[in-house]
Amino acid sequence: MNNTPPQILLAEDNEIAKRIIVHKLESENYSVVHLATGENVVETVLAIKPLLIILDLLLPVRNGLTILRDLKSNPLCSGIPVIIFTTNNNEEMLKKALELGAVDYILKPFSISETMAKIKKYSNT
Amino acid sequence: MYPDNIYHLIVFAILLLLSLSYLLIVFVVILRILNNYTTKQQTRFLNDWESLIFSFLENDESPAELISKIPKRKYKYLLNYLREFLLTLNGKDFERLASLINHTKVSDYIIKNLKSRNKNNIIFASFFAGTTKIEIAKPLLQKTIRIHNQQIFFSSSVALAQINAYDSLDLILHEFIKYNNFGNDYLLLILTEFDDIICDKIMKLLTVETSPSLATTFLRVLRYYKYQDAGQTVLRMLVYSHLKDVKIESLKFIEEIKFEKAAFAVSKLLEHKLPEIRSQAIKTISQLDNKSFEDKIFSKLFENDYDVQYQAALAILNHYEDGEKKLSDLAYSINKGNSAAISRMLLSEKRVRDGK
Repeated sequence: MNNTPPQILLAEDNEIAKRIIVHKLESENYSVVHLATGENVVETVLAIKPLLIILDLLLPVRNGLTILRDLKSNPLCSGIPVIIFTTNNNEEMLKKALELGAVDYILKPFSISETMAKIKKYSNT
Repeated sequence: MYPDNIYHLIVFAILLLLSLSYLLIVFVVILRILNNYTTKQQTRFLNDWESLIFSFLENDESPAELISKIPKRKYKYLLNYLREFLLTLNGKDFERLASLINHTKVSDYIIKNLKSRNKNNIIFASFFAGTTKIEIAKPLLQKTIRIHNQQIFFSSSVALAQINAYDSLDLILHEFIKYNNFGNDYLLLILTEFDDIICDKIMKLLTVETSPSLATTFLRVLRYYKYQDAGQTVLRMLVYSHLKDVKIESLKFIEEIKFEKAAFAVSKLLEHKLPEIRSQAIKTISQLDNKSFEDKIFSKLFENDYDVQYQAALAILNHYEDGEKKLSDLAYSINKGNSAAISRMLLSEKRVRDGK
């Protein structure tokens, strides 16, 4: 029997948002790999193959859209669902992200219960 | 050789400089110690209390019960900690966090800070009074707003707006005009912190006699809230105001709420002497459901002003039947003027967008 907790990759540079999501996910037995910049997101995804990716659109070093494009064009990780995590004034970027293949989005400021509902829906646990 | 008194003067100056440098070093060291202390206390608070606050968000514990566990001297750290959370969460989570402040004795601490003479304390307290809607803070905020300090004015006004103190609107406007270096964007930020009921108050203040800067800000607030009931008031402003910015803002509002009754008045502005107004009038009228001005807009393609031509071409392409064909005919006709070039540019952009 495999007892490894389901792994989620969270790419988010806001410390408070990260603390809230990590706390909540860990309390529900998820394992969270957190990255605060967009630098190694694709490499990390390929290395750990998470169940789900939560991706901020405005990350330092590399922006979320570029990362999403790379993830979706790589057959080794294109099937992993990506939820976009962004502020509500990025309508254009959000539209683009959904066109690129993101499955859903969470707008900041956010509600913990709605966020968890979306994470559970797309991580199939 | 220097005379004795010059020598003493130089020695005195050197000693004075050394003493000042020494004092400066001591001052910097004290500041660093204080800063380190605050950071350590904040981190300690986080380690000690974060899990309790997370668990409070997940269960039905009463806010007063959790706050009773936190010593009063730690309220500053609690508020520093909650500040970022209040900006990050919404809905039920936000309300739960706010209840830790506005339903407990932490609100007394906020009130105490609002009464303080320290600028930073007032600004700090205003943030929480507004964000968590501590209504009993209203009289104090109405006092602090009168302290002639730009930052205090702004934070107090925002707080009053957040607690929807509509009766403070006149006071906010009265104090706002005392600051010459405050741009109208600040006033817009303040007014949009009220809920949309403020639009009714603003409508009553909006007349052709209103100062141009206030009138344009009021129109922007009405547009922000897409306040349908203001249609007739804004139409009056459009017709009777002679000010360019007021006319343009009125047109933008009419465009935003698609106020059909204004179509005729807007069409008159297609002939206005100022190209900025003609250009905005084209944008506005093309958004209304009235298609009887198509020929008029098409004729604007042959004007002298580039922006008017551009808006006319855009309107024809996006809002009128056979617009693409009409622009194509123009784009590839023998006409070599701006209108043909603009048409080619817009058609080319459309093809890229459509993936053709």
